[in-house]
Amino acid sequence: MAMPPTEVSATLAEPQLGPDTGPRGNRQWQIFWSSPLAWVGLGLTVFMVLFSFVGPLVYTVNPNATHLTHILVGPSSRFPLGTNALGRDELARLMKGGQLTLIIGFIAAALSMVFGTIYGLASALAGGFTDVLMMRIIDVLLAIPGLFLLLLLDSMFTPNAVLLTAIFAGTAWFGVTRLVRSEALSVRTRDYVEAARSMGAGTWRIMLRHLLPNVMGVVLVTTTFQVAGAILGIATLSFLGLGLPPPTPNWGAELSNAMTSMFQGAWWVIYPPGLCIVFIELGVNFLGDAVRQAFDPRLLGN
Amino acid sequence: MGRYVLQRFVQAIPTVIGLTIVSFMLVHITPGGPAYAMLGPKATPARVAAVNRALGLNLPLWDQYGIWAWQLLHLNLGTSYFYLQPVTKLIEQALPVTLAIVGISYVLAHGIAVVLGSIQAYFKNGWFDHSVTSVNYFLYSMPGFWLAILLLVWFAVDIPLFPTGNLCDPNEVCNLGTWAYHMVLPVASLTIGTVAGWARYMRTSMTDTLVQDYIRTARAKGLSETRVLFKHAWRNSVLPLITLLGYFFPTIFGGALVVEEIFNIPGMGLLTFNAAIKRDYPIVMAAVLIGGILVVIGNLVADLLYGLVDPRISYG
Repeated sequence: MAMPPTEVSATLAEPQLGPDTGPRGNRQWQIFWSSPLAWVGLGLTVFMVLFSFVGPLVYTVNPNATHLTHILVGPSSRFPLGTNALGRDELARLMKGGQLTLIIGFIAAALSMVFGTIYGLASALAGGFTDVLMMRIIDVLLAIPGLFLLLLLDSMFTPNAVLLTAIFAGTAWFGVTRLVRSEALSVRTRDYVEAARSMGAGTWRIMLRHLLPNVMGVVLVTTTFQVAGAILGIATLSFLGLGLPPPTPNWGAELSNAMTSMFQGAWWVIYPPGLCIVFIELGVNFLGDAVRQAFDPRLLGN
Repeated sequence: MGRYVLQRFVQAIPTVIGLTIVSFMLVHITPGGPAYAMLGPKATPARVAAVNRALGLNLPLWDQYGIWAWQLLHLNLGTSYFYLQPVTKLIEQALPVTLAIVGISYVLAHGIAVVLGSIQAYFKNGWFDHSVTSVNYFLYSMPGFWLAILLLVWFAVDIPLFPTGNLCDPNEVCNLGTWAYHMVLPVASLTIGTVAGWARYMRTSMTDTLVQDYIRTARAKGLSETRVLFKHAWRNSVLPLITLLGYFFPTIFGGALVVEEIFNIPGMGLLTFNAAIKRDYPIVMAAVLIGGILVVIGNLVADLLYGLVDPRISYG
C-alpha cells in the first residue's frame, strides 16, 4: 500500500521537530500549510490515491476481462469510460493501473532519498580523495540520459514490480546526493559541529544528529519532485512496452494501446489515461513547489 | 581563457573514461546475452556457446572491455549483431537526425521561454502571467508521449495537416522541404514540453533582474522602456538559462527517444530503443557512451558560454 503523501511528510518531519531545529521546523510547516499550492496538490494527490485504491472496491469490474462483442465501444451505462481495443473496461483498467504506479513511485522516491542522502553525507564527511572519487562517479552517472539508463536496465530483465522499484530508485538518487553533499559541506564547518566533534562525538553521531537535520529541507524538496519523476518514468516505460507485462494495466500502456486505435476517433482511450497521469503529476508538483517555498534554504530569506 | 578551456577539457576526461566503463558494465552484467535473443527459445546450449564464441562473449570481462576500449580509440564501435553493419555507420545516419530534432527544439524552446518569461515578469501577477503559469503547470505535468499523441491525433489524423510519421514518404522525393514538413510535429512536441519547464526559470530570473539598481538607473536616465528591457535586463536574465543548457540536455535526449518512437523517426532514440530490446550490445554501448559524451560537452559549452555572456566571470 502506498503511503499517502501526508504520512510521508509526517515521517519526514520528525527530525525537523527534534530539539535541534524545533521552532524553525514548525514555522516551515506553517508556511507549507498556508500555501494554496499545498492544498490543491494534496487534494489532487489524495483524489488519485482514492481513485486507484478505493475506486476498484466501489467499481468492482475485472479490469482484465475481455468483452469480445464490445471492442472499442464508447462510454455507456455499462462501460462508463468505454472499452479499449481489446474489449476491456477502460475505467476499471485506469483505477487498477494507478495502484502499482503510485506504490512504485512513492517507494522508489523514498528509497532513492535514503540512499542519496547517505551517500552525499558520507562523501561530505569523508572529504579529500574519497570525496572527489565519490563525486566523480556521480558525474558519470548523471551524464547518462536517464531514459536511456532506464530503458537499458529494464530491457535486460523481465520487469516485475520489485525490479521496477529498484531500477527507479537506483537511477534517481544521483541528484539528491549532490545537493545533500553541498548542503552538508556548508554545515560541516559550522561551530556547533566543531563543538560536537571536540566533545568526542563520532562520525555517525555527527552525521545523524547534526548534519542530517540540516539537510532535511533540501532532501524533502527533491524527494517530492522525484515522486513525480518516478511516476512519469513508469508511465513512459510502460508506454514503450517495457513496463509490467500485459495484461497488468498501466496508464502508459493504455495510451500505447490507444495509438493502435488512433484512426477510429476513440477519444475515451486517448484522453482519460493521459489525464490520470497529469492529475497525479500536477498534484505532486504542486506539493513539491509548496514544500520548496517552505523549506528551500535559498528561498527562506525572501 | 585558453587555460581554463584546457583545464575543463582535462577534467572531462575521467568522466568520459567512467562513461566507457559504465556503458560496458551495464550491458555485460545482464543475464541472458544476445545469443538467446538471436536464437530464440529453441536455442541449444551448444549453439549458444558457438554464438558467444563467435561474438567474443566467452572471453573474460576485462579482456572484452580491453578489446572494446582499444577499438573505441580507433573510432571503431564494433559491428551490430542484427543489422550486421558497422555501428559507426548506423550512428552516422541516426545521430544527425536526433541532433536536428533536439537542436531545433532547444533553440525554439529557449526563444519562446525567454519571451514568455520576460512578459510574465514584466506584467507580474497580471492576467497574462497567471494564465501562462497555469498552462505551464499543466504542460509541465504532461507526459511527453501524451502530448505527442495528442498533436498526432489533432494535426495528423483529425485534421490531416501533417504526416503521421517517418522522415520522408517512400513514394516522394526527399529534400529539405519534405524533411522539414515531417519534422513539424515531432519538434513541436519536444519544444512545448521544454518551454513549460523553462519559462518558469526565465520568469524568476527576469523578476529578479527588474528590481536591480542598474535597471532603475537606466530608467532614471530616461531610456525608453524597450531599451531598458532589451539592452539592460535581458542579457542578465538569460544567464540562468545557459546553465540549464547543460542540465536539461539529458532530459531532452530522453524526450527525443519517445518522440522518435511515436513518429517512427530513424534517430538515435529509435536505434537505441530497438537495440536495447534486441540486446544488440555494440549499439547500446555506443548510444549510452555518445549520449553521455554529448551531455559532458553540453555542460562544458554551458560553462564557457556563461563566461562569454557574463563579464563578471573571468577565466584567468
